[in-house]
Amino acid sequence: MMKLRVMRILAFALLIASSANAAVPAPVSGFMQTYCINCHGEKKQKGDFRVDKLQVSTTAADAENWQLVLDNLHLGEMPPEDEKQPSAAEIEKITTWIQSELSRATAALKGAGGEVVLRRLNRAEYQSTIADLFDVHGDFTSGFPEDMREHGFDNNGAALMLSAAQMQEYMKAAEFVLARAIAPSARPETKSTTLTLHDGNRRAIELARKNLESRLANFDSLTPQEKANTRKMEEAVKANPESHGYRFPVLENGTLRPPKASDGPHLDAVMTVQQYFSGGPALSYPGRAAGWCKVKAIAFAMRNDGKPTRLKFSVGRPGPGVIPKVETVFTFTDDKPREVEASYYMEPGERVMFTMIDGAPHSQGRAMIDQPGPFIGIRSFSIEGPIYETWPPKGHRTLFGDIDPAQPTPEKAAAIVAHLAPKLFRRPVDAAAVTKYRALFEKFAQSMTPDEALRSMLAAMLVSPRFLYHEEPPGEPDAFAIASRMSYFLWRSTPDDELMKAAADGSLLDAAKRRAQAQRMMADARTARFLKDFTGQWLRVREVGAMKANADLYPEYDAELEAAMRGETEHFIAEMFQRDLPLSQLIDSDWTMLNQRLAKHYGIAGVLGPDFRRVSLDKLKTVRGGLLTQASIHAVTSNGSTTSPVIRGTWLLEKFLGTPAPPPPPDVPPIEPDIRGATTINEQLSKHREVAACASCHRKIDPLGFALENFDVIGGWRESYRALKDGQGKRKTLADGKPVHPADEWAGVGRFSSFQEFRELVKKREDLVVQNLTNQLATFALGRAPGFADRQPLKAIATKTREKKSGMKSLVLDLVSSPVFANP
Amino acid sequence: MNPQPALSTRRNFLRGAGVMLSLPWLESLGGIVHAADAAKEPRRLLLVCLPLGIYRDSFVPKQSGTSYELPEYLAPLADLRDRFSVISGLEHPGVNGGHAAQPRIFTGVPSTERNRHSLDQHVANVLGQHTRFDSLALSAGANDFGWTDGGSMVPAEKNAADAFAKLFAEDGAANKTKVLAEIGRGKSILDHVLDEARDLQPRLSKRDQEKLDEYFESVRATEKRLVKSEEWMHQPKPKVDAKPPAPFAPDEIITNLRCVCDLTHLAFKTDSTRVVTFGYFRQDSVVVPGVNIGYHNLSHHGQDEGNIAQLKRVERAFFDELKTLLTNLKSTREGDSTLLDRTTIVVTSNLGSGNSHSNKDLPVLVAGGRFKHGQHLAIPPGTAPLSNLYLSVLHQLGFEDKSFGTSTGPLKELDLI
Repeated sequence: MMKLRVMRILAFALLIASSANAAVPAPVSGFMQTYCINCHGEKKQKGDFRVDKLQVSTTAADAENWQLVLDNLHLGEMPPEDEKQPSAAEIEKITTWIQSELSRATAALKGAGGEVVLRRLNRAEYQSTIADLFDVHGDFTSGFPEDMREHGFDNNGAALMLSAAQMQEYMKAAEFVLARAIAPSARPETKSTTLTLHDGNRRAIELARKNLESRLANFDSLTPQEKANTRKMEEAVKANPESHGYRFPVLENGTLRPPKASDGPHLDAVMTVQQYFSGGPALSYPGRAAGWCKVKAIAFAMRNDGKPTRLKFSVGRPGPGVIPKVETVFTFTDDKPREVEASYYMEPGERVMFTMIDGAPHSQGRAMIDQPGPFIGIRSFSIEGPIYETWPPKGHRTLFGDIDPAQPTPEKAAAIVAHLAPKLFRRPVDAAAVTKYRALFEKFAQSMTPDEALRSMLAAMLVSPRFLYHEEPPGEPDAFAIASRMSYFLWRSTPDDELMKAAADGSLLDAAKRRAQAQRMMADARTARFLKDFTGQWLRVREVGAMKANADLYPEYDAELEAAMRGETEHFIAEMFQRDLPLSQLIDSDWTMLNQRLAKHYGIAGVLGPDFRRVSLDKLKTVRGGLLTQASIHAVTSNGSTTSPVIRGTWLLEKFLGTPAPPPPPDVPPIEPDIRGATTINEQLSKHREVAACASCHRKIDPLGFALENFDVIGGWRESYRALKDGQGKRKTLADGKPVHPADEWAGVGRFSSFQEFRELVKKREDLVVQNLTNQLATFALGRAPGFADRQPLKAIATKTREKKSGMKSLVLDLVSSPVFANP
Repeated sequence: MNPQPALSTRRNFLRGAGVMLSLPWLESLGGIVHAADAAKEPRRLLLVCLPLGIYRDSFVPKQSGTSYELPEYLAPLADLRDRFSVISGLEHPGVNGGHAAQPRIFTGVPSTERNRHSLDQHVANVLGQHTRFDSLALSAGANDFGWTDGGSMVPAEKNAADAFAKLFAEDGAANKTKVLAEIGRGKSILDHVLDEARDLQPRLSKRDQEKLDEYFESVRATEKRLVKSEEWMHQPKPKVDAKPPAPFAPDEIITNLRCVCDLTHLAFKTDSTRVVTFGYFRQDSVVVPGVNIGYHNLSHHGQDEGNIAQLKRVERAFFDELKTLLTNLKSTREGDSTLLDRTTIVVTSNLGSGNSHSNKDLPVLVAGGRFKHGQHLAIPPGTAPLSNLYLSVLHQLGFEDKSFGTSTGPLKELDLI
């Protein structure tokens, strides 16, 4: 009975298939009927895919479907193991036909689908474009609505929406930018201030004296505890009348002592503790308008036993709970005074705070001197600003060139537009557009001063669609469109003069010249933006820290480790790129990028200091090497308390191998994590293998995740799961839970019993890893997912890269000079 | 939709009511007089999401129907029992991905599609015509719930003091003149760039032209906003007795929530807006007595008793504040009714279980408005989309939409009074 029904449906499906797919050759549709139709036809549509709907490609979507069939046959994913299997000869016959069909479709469908959609500057691009054009920095994009991600990246043209809220933010940002970019008529004086710690001592001593006086004056109203403290203070003053309340011991002839009133202001003094009650030493920005300043310290290490000792500059507004906008850390290792300096773009009202990271917790008086160390000796701190490399400053010159904007007339306004618009709009601007801006100036000038009218006109230019969007002509992109594509790919920002010149003379349309330009651009520091942004989104490592580790289970986790995790992967990819290292090292490498904190986490000795550097790995001693061993990856695939092989397997498929699994069917029962130690994840996930509806995908996903099972939530190596047991007090204590079982089988590739064995298997599929990186780069470069027509050229690039054992830099160059980059 | 008549009605009213508006709100005058025309009583909407879930055993009653036993979280709401309903079993079909479902909680748009068009924004397009602010997105740690038609997120007012200032702080006369000049200038700028976009359009491909439509729409919507804020610049802001919220640290989640609830109450009471959304969330540690693990980690409790006990403390604090808000709305009279009767409140989560981060069988509490309350509607999981409730809410607010999100019809089990 049942069988009869199935047959009827099959017959019906055949009928439909034969009518719809008249041109699909009989052997091909026959193959589908035999091996595929049961799960992918009228009756069932697993993975939302039907073979009876396949037809000879008239659209890119048809071709994509054939590609999917081809991929699955090649990878041995389909038919599933427990179904009837075709012979190798049968498969070859089918794949040969599909390949020829795809070649035919590629030619026929050239340019169809996968086109770049009008791209708006996203938040990061807007920020760096403003920085590069006007040298204006700051927090003017924090109110922008978040940019949505599509295909893994937040620069996808189709997904970059606009709204009234965003428009109003653009208008506000324009004001912010112009207020800082337009220079005042007179060059502001550059001022400098120097601070010695002894200055701080004098103020602190004076403050302590006043405090004691007021306490004594109101002695009767004090609490008994306060009275006792006040008496103690009196004693302390008697013992050290000159120095009570001082905060920095002074250094004389190699010994530390409290300061004396007779000490000269230039005596070295020493920071010994991390935190001071009334804030640490600080210097205020001396300018009256935002600008650049130079901050210096002359310092040295003391009592540090050769260990690195760190001094931190934090820039921001004063106030409790205010997070610094930028921080710089300097490391000192010996007692030779050394000058360190940093440059910051600061606003009036902001200041630089100086703190010692490795100092003792708070202490006072003699106790400070008796701390074991390390200390930091300070000769002086200084700040100098605002500093202008040129006058008028860069932003002003970008806006006005050689035109003096004072007392603007309509003619002047027009000249300014003619100068500025090509830079702002990233292509030439015709006279009609200039005239319209001039008319706008004239309109404003009726109700405003000429200066205000000019500024308002400039504000309009900054919210123009031609600034906010990348204008590309219909059909093939012109050289200016190529220039923007290149600079927003490699610099995440606007083209420079040289690139605009190469656009103007059309040389960017030539692949070889484009390559040469890209080579020049990659030597520029702006490339760091591309590397960081791409790495952060491709591998999701910018999300490290979004899910904090559970402090009970992972007490060793802290902000420094969190930053170091992200740092390793960013530096690793940057190193791979800069040295053009073979991409096989993404899978396994005998080096990685470490700083002291991360090296400690990995149990690797001999790495001192906060700076990242390349460290050779002893592969007999450590499992580390390659992306899959990096703590950042383990952290972003965890929820902070537990890890899930499903999440990690999905990450591997999507981000590393580029063969994503279809989304889960709607009715899967969720897995309820249990950290009481009773069940293991293997036991919980065994359901996936038993239920047929889950098995086909999870056989693909879960094993890859299990391969990483020895890495815990924060990337530490574990042989057993961490569990919590009731401790003595309220707090739970850590205990060993059940042992970890990483063994599994990667379908079609092989069995593994450990992560190390798995990594050997991944090496066999280097082709997938390289193809994936190629596709990810193309997606990021063009702000769209690669279309069907891009497949062959991208495959050729990946194959060449792998065969020549070249690296990411070559890959990027090949990509920029390939037709994919210059397609519509 | 034609905003012109509503605008002129409002302006006429405000002229007449100008004197009274400058007085502190006096409930003894017989309730608050509103800008809305008297025949049509104001209707309001409050949407609240707890993005980390609501611990089921403490929220979902064991029994269905009207004689259910109040579970732990709802015990503080005992006095309001006939003014709210608990609904279990609803979910958004096709919305998945754990936390990724959060921005879709009030849109119901399946995960495979681009998110857009949230319930609050849909409602605000109409209800917002009567008030200074179309809608208000507040935040007790989260708010990515508001989505425009075009698919852009509506940014939230993250700082409670700023939100208070926006609602109630009066600009000085000099500043007002400046702001009015700014608005005038802004309108000219927008006119210009709109013209520029028109010039640009023929130089683009068809596909890019379609994309540029977003620019046109956004500029026009911005112009509308400027016109509206110009209109309201001439009206004094309402005066309230409440003080602006004092600053608090980001981990003071209860203080934050309390501020947001008070602002919601004040915003409704002064008819500054009729649509409010906010979320209760924090990834990290929270200042709640007896809690030392981060809120997000607590939600992944792993069945550990200690974790569950702490999680409950964080969530119970929410329901304590919700009780205060509902009570305040109930005791604020407006005309012959109360704010609670004229406000529909939906509290829900994108997670059915915090532990598994599953997006099925979502917890829902509906309060106020004209619904018949006092029951636990236990809907068999997977049989009705959450958007059915949203459609019922729309109808109850006087909208005539045939559908919303993935709705299949109004939630028939929920009756009107």
